[in-house]
Amino acid sequence: MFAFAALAMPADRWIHVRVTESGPDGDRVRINIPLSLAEAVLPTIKADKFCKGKVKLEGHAFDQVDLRAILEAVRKAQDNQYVTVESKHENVEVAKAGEFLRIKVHEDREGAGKAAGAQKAGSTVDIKIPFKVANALLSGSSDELDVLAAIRALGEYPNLELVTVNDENDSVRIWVDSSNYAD
Amino acid sequence: MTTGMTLLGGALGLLVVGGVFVYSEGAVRVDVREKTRNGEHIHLIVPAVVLPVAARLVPRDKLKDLPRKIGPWLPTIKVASEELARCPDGPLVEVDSNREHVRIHKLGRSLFIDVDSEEETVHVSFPLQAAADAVSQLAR
Repeated sequence: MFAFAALAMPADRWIHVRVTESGPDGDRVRINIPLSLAEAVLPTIKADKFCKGKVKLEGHAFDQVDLRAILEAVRKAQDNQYVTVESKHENVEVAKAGEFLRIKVHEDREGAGKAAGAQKAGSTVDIKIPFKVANALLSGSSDELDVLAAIRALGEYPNLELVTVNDENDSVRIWVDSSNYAD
Repeated sequence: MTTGMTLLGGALGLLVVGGVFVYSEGAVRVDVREKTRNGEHIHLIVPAVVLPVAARLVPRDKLKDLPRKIGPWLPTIKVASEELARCPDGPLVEVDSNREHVRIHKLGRSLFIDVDSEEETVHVSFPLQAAADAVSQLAR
């Protein structure tokens, strides 16, 4: 009976963070945290702007913009690239792809990429957030982010690539899966 | 059976039960090796059951603000140690650089911390529950 109960239980989800500095002297950091640990610990933390798993956002203009309404409108809309900002040194794209909100930022390094055949230098940030997680994050009052609810929502996804940052020196990867090893 | 034999049997029984209890609670292990020519080597193994008791014996005046500082974090430490003990074994934090390597991993109901730097190697391992109990004793 216990075996069946164990089989019925969802596998543990882990959030992994990997930071790699390039070069022979580059540092490498790997962090693996069970989502269940974050879920259990967050409600117990009572810090200055962090209480019961929620972060207070003081001094931000979120109360003047209905983020939930915007998010819901985008979620219901067709897949598309909704925001494109192109400037001399930076490109920003915000798109909807299925149940995910995708944000891509590419920043050119000054003077980079001029040489023929050179790789496009600079930094690239790729963020992929499920609408369910974004909604959970914004499920509190207008001046707070519900991190605990977002972590709970994250647990519903078996594998999820959340954040990837690459530049000439560093790479950062944050993802969720059911393995307790980073790779 | 003589009274002496009965007493000896009782003492042996107590010793075995005590030994099983101490073993089941695990041990705190600290190992520090300096990498210099005449570097020191400190090796310490303490039964985990002793930790909360030792924490209780620390003079209150030596702790001063500790209860006030640790107090708010006690529920977090308690929940974290319980939840960690339940989690599958594996590495939690790994830091590799030219100067040092740090590993924090969980195995069974214990946490293992290993640091290998240019100056020394440090190994600390402790049962999660005992550490939480000791911290709560210090915060009293």
